[in-house]
Amino acid sequence: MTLLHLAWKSFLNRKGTLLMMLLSISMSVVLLLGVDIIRQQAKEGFSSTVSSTDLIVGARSGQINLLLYSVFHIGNATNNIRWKSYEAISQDASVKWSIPLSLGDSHRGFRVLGTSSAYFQHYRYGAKQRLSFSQGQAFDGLFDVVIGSEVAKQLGYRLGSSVVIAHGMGNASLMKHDDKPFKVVGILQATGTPVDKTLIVSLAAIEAIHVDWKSGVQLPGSKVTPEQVLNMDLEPKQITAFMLGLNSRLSTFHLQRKINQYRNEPLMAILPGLALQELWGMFSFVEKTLFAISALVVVSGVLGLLALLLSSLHERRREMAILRSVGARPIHILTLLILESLLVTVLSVALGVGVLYLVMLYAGTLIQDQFGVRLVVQSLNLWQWQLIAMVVAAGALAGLVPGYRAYRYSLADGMSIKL
Amino acid sequence: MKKVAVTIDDLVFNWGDHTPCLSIPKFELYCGEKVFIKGPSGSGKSTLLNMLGGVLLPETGGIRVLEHDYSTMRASQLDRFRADHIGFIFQQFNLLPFLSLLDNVCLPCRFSAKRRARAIEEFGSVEQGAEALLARLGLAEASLYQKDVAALSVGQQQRVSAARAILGAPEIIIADEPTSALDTESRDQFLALLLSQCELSGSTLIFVSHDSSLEHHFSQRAQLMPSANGGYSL
Repeated sequence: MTLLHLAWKSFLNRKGTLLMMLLSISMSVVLLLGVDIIRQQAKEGFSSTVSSTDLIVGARSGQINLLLYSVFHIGNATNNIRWKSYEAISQDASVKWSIPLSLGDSHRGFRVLGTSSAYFQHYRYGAKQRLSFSQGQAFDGLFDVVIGSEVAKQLGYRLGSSVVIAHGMGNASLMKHDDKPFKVVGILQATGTPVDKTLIVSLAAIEAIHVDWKSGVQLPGSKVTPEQVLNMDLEPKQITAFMLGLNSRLSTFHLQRKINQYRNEPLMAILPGLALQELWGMFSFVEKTLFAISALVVVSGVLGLLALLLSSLHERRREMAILRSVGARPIHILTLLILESLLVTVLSVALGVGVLYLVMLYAGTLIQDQFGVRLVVQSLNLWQWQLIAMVVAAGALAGLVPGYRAYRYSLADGMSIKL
Repeated sequence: MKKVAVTIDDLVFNWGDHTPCLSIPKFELYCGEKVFIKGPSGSGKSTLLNMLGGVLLPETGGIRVLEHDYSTMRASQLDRFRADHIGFIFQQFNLLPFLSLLDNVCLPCRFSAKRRARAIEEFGSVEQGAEALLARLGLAEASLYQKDVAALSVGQQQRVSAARAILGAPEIIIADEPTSALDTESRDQFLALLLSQCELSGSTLIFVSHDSSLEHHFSQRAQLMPSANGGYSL
C-alpha cells in the first residue's frame, strides 16, 4: 500500500516524460487490439457472406474460383452452364430450393445479377438473415431492377431512377444496352456483403437485353424494341451458376457427388463453408504478418519504457538512499520500480482500450465507408484479454531490469547520498 | 544504571583492498547522550554511519546497538532494526521531491510499525505528530504545506528532515553534516532546535561534522584521527 502510494507519487512527479511513454505504449495497444478486432470481425463478416446455402454449382473450375465469382462477384466464370442442367438438378428430390445466378453485365462498375424471385426468398447471409428492402419491393415487370444499398448511396439512385446496363464488366467505353433502360423498383438494406454492390434483375431481363445480340455485339439492323421483346419467349438458355438449399444436410455429399458426375455437362458443386475457409486460409499470412508487426510495436514501446526507467535510475540513486535511511529494504526498492513500470503499462492499456472503443463508436461508419470493414462494438474476447495480460506482464518485466539494478545500487550505496 | 546505546569493539573496516580505512578500538555511548564526532572529509564518517545503520558490515570487530549484535543479524533484520530504532538526517537533499512535506515527515512511520505506534501513542495520529513536530521546529505556517518540498529553503528542508528523524521517537538519531549547507545563523538555530527536540524525546544523538565550531554544544566529543597505517581511527 505504502509502496503503491510512493510509486504513484513518483509517477506523478515524472509525468512529463512518463506521459509520453504512456501515450506511445497505449498507441501500440490500440494497434495490437485494433488489428486483432479488425481481423476477427473481417473474418466473421467474410464467412457470413453466404449462409444456409448447402451447395453452389457452376462450370468445372476450382472451388475458390467458383466461390469468388458466384458469391463475391469477383472475376469471371470460365464457362456458363446449361439451363437444362439447372432445371434437372433443381428438381432432384433432395433439393428444397434453388437460386439461379446469371452474371456478366454491369452498371457503372457495379455487377448486375440476373436471378429469380427465389433469391429474395432463400438467399441468406450472416446469422441466417434474409434480404430486406429499405424501399420498394422485388422486381415484377421485365425491366424492373432492385439495387443494393451501396449502389443506391454511391450513385444517388431512388425508386423510379432509370438505369442502363452495360455489356461486360468495367467502367469505360462498354457497349450499352441503352435501348432497354431499367427502372429501380426496390432498394435493399445494407448487409455488409457483396449484395450491397449489386443490381438485381430477373433472368428474363438478362435474356431480353441480349435477344438482338450475338457474340458480344448488337446485330446491326435487327433492333428489337422493348415492346416487342415482351411477347418473346425469354427462357434463358444458359446461366452462370446456381445455389442449392437441401431438405436435409445429410444428403449434401450425396448430391455433390451426383452433380460432379453429371453426365450431360461437366459441372462442379462446392460446399460454401469449406470454400470460404480455404479462401480465408490464403490470407492467413497477412493475418500473421499484421499480428507480428503490431506485437513488435508493443515490444518497442515496452523497451522504450525500460530505457527510460534505466536512464532515470542514476538520478534516482539519491531517492533510493533516502528510502533506505527511512527503513525501506532493497526488496522495497525493487518492488517500487516494478510497480512504477506496471502503473505506466496498466494506465497505457486502459487508455489504449478507451481510445479503441471511442474509435469504434465514432469512426465505425468512416472505416466502413473507406475500407468496407464493418466494425461492431463488442466486448473483448478471451484472446484479446490474454493479449492485454501479456502487455501488462511485459511491463512488469520491463520494471524488473531497472528494479534489479536499483536493488544492486541500494545494496552498494547503502545510505550514502551520491550527489 | 544507564542503558548502553552503542558499543563498538576492535572494529576494522576495509574498502576491499585490505588497507584499513577505519579502525575503532573502543567506542561506547549511553542512551540519551549527545556526541559530536569530528572528522575531516574522507576520514570515513559516512562509512561509520552506514555501519551504525547496519548497511555496511565491518571486516572484524563488533557493533552492538541497543543490545543488538549486528554481526548476528541478517540483512533484512538489520533493515527492520534501522527502521524501528534509528532516525537519519543527511547533509542536503534529504527529502523525496515527489512527496508532500507531510508525507516526507511521515515516511519512516510507513515503514516501521513500531515508530508508527509510538507516534500514535504520543500525538494521536502520525499526521498530527508530524504537524506538531513541524510546529515545534518553526514550520507551522499552512502555506508551507502546499509547497513543493524542493521549493523550501535549505534551512527549512533540514528542519523537515529533523522532524522526520524524530517522529516516532527512535532511540538513536544520526546526523551527518546536517548544518554544512546552512549559514551561521540558521546553523545555530537548527542545532539548538535539534538538541532540544532530542532532549524532549530522550533520543541519543550522534552528530558528525568537520566543523569544530559546533563542538561546544556537545558534552561528549570524539574525533576521527589519521592513524599510522594510512587509515583513520576514532
